[in-house]
Amino acid sequence: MGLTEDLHDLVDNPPPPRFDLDDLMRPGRARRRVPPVLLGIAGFVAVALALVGGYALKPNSHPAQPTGFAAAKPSATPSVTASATPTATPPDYDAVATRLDAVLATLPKSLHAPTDGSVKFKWQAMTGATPPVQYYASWKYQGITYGVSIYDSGEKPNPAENGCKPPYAGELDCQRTVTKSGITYHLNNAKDKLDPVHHTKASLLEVLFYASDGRQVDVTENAGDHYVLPLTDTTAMTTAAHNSGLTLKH
Amino acid sequence: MDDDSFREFIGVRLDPLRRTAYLMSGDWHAADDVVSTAVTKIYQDWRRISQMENLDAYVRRTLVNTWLMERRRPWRRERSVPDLPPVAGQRADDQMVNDRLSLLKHLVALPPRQRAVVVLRFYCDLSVEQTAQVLDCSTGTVKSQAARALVTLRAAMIDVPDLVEG
Repeated sequence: MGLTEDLHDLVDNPPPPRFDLDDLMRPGRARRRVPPVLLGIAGFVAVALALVGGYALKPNSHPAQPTGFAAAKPSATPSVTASATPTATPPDYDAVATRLDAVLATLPKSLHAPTDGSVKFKWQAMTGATPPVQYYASWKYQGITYGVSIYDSGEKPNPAENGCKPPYAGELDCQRTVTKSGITYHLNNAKDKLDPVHHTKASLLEVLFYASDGRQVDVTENAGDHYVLPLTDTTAMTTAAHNSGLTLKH
Repeated sequence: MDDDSFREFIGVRLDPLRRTAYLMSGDWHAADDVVSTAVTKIYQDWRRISQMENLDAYVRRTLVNTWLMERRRPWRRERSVPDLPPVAGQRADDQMVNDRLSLLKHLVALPPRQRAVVVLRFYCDLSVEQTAQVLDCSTGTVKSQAARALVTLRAAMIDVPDLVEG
């Protein structure tokens, strides 16, 4: 096949979009948009599940797929990202995810991570990560979506690179802390740089930890359109992001 | 009324835009981020934009520029993938999957502008002139970027066309 056909094959069966056009067009919402990196983990999880589910539904593709995924909507379609998922799940990825599950119980209580096993880490292929997978877990508590994701970038963070400087942080308020263990970014949208309204609380909080060993840990709180998240929440989120259990070891 | 015309215009283009963004970013998650950002930008200025003659070129340019801007963020910094994910059992079905992954891997390893040229020329099927318009560069730049990209892909055993002239 030629390049053009190969490229078209590469994008056949895209997963459902994780954004909604009406949401993007909602009055007043557009100018308060935050960098995509902060768009909730919940949608990410939903798409990831749809991807895996869709893959299971593809005829004759992966008979070894666990049956638990078969309940996914038939409309879910496989993607190349999903295809990046090894056809028979390598046990090491699952083993890492299982080990990470136990870390949820050690996160600060104020993050309300379920400890009853109802929330588990999942993984999906991620281009550029080493190994090329990202692990993530998400849960809801009183309307707030909490999320933790982790992957290994394979590189040490560059102290000379300041993500808080334009144009990186975009509309968000951003603080950066450099320590021996790595670089930590605190981001929130309480004071939107485009929106003249300055809220006392945020609707989105994010702590990004670029560990010196190459791991990138992302902890988020997302309250949708409700500016109810005190900025002090980032203290617990930082503790979570620095949790020594959030590694990719088996 | 503006909303209706925007919805009508962008509604039928969302899917192609997502696919284009995926080929540039190598990740559906990132592709959706790029598309949603680009669509928001277009929506914010739709009244003016909708009067343009070549709307599709403008939309593509917005998409490409948004992607180029997004990838400059430190937390978006792309890194090459040293190896494909391990595959537990190699079957005939898997070969096709791995071929696609191989193409994607080599595609996302291209420098951004080369990657954009490849996607616009060989996926979007734009001419050299149209590609230059989207990327806001000369046709000569498009040709040279495409040539370099194809040399790289060919070296990786990707089946690429011999001629890149538009």
